[in-house]
Amino acid sequence: MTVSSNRVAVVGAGQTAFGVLPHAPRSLLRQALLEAVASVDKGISPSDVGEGYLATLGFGGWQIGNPATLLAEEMGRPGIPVTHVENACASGSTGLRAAYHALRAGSCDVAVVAGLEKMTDDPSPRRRFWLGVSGETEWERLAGLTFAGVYALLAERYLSERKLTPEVLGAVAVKNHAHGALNPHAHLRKPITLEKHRDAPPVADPLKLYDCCPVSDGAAAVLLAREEVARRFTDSPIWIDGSGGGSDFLALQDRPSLTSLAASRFAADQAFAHAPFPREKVQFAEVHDCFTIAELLALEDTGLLPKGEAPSATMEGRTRLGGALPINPSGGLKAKGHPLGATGVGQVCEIYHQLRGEAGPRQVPGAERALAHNVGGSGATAMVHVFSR
Amino acid sequence: MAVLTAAAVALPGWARGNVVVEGPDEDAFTLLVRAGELLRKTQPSNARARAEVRKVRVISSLAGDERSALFDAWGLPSVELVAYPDSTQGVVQSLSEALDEEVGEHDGPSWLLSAQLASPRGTGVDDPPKQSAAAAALAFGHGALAEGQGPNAPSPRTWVTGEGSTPAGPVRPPELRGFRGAASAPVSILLTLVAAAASSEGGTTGSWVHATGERTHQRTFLDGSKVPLQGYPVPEERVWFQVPEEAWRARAGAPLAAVSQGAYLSRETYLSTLPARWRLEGERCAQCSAFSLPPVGRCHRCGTRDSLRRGRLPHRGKVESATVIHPGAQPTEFDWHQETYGRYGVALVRFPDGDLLTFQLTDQQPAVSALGADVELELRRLYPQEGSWRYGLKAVVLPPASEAKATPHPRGA
Repeated sequence: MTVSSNRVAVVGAGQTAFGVLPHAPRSLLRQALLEAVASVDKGISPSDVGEGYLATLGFGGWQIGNPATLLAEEMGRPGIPVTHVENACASGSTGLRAAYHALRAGSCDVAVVAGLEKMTDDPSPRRRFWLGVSGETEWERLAGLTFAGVYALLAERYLSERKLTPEVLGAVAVKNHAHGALNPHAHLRKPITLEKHRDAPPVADPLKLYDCCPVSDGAAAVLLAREEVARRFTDSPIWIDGSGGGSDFLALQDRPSLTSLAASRFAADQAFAHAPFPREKVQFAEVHDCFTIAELLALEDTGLLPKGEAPSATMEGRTRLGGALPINPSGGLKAKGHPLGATGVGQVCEIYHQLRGEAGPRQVPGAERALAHNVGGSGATAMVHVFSR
Repeated sequence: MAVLTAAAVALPGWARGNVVVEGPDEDAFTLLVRAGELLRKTQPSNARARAEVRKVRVISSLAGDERSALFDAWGLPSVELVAYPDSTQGVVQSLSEALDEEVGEHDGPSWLLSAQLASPRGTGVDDPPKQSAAAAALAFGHGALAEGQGPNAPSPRTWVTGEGSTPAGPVRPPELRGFRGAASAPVSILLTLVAAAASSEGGTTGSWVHATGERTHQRTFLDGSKVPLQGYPVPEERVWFQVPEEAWRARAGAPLAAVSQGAYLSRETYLSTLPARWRLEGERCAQCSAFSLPPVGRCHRCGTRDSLRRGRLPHRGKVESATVIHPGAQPTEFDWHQETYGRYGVALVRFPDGDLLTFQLTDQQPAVSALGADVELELRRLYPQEGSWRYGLKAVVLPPASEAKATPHPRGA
């Protein structure tokens, strides 16, 4: 079997804005699906869709069990097989990977992947409860850590080993806020300065307020089709050229390294083993920057930059829009927002529009090849997908 | 009849170093654990004395499962544990029974312990509740055990271990007297007993306790000798810290739903894994060298089921990475801590054999980022849940060795 004979295309993608939204989860989901359907160049009917995957953690506790059926309902296609996928913050890309494999296996011609989270209407303790449940409970959580604390431990070690100051974290935040300001779907559309980053209140040392992504509501959906049928829907499909996944020990304490996420490395290696082009050919990427340190880790773990170059590339502006390798042109989780289950699907929406030249003022000029990197927890799971037009 | 063969006094960290703490996390339970550990180090080391502890008497208001958890903390086989009321009568009764017991030459020692945080005595805003604490632990055994030990020892140092005003220093009786009245009556009485015995000349065989409570006036004797204590001045109560203990209690009794919603460690699981949590008892894999906690007969890294060896990690290591959790970044279990005291530290600790585990820093830690610093692990309160406290090891960051300055952090101060 050759890769080209069994390709999978993205034929439609849509999302709600990410942010503090007044809508109920079901409305968010419907809105994202309508956007995705509307984005299909030649139109698509609910009856074309043969299978669905819904990525969500618990959207505020509205429907924790059996939520995937909402996807079939809101897609207007009750009756199709649907599956709830959950890999913490990597749920969205995990759903994408599941749909990709279903299509390659020939179980259907068109599949829908949606991600959904409703987080901002929860009372604060319950929100913090949800944010903390995807880490390791017995040692990390019960020593007093949530994800801010876990990523802070990674950041502290990273800065110490590489003899860096938190300014490099600030550079990531400033860049992604600048990108987010160009994205009408972004949660935080406000540029910040290094001084503002430096003077912000501490959250978990060395991480401060602007090192952390916001808590967002949102939904995103993509429509995938097998190569044989893709051109029924569009003449400009975006191809998924490689899909890779990885996992690691849940707790930092069981891992050999604190300055690299093995799951990301596995996922990237696997994705590029299938891809028809090497990682040097990637022109931009959406990477998982739930905390600023995560973007620095991602750049080297995915191999987009050689080991040791992420901080200098960031400080020199190489990862900005207009730089040699724009990272998170959408604003990333940091500024676009992080509605957990929707995040990985939202990354694909950005890549879909960028590769089709539809990204407006944040367009990466001439973009043909891109990478999406999505992490669950502190790196316990990770998915990497490679796309081209 | 048994004789007193060893004694130990434990003070909370905030009293040992005379430091103000941000969020004290020691209590009667952790002090009992500490006093027992010190007592074990102090017990006569001659061959006859190596028998396991035979019986434990505890004067305390601890709940039953906390009393039995003491054995997990000490790493001792569970033996008969007798609880006495937390009162003057309780100490007199327990002392009498410990001394009156018929013991053989080869019998292991019995222990008698009491530890308390004193009751709040404040009356209002201008006079807030005062807290202070201490624990005493005594060992009793056959007279033959006491050769060169106990009140017959040439120096109190050989049979009394304790923590005076200097960390882990030997107890000096004048300092011990400072704790009369600082804790509850039983602890005060035992401390007085230890102080009196320790201050007696070598060869003096006994002291006595004269305990006066509101409704009791009792004497009990050691070896019948009488060394009156009237000469001791009664010092002013020393106030170590002020703590809204009532707030802790209220939080501990909060409904489970308000504390956690599922990602929690059930009390049953907690109690069944105490040796792993408190004593770091696990299994070392000879194949891949990983250390698995708790031991389940399978290496958590490479999966091997053979070549596993039971073992313990030492209670010391080095900070591999650290953070300070500021209010808002804590899991809901630690809401009480943040609301009451604010920030706390968490560190990844590297053990001498390379293993890595995660620990909160103890109460008296300043918010430090001390990569590479040496730490020791102590049992402390973690968080309240289901009506009681969960305890676990926390890390105490040790000051850098006098000359060897810690490597400055690249961020400076």
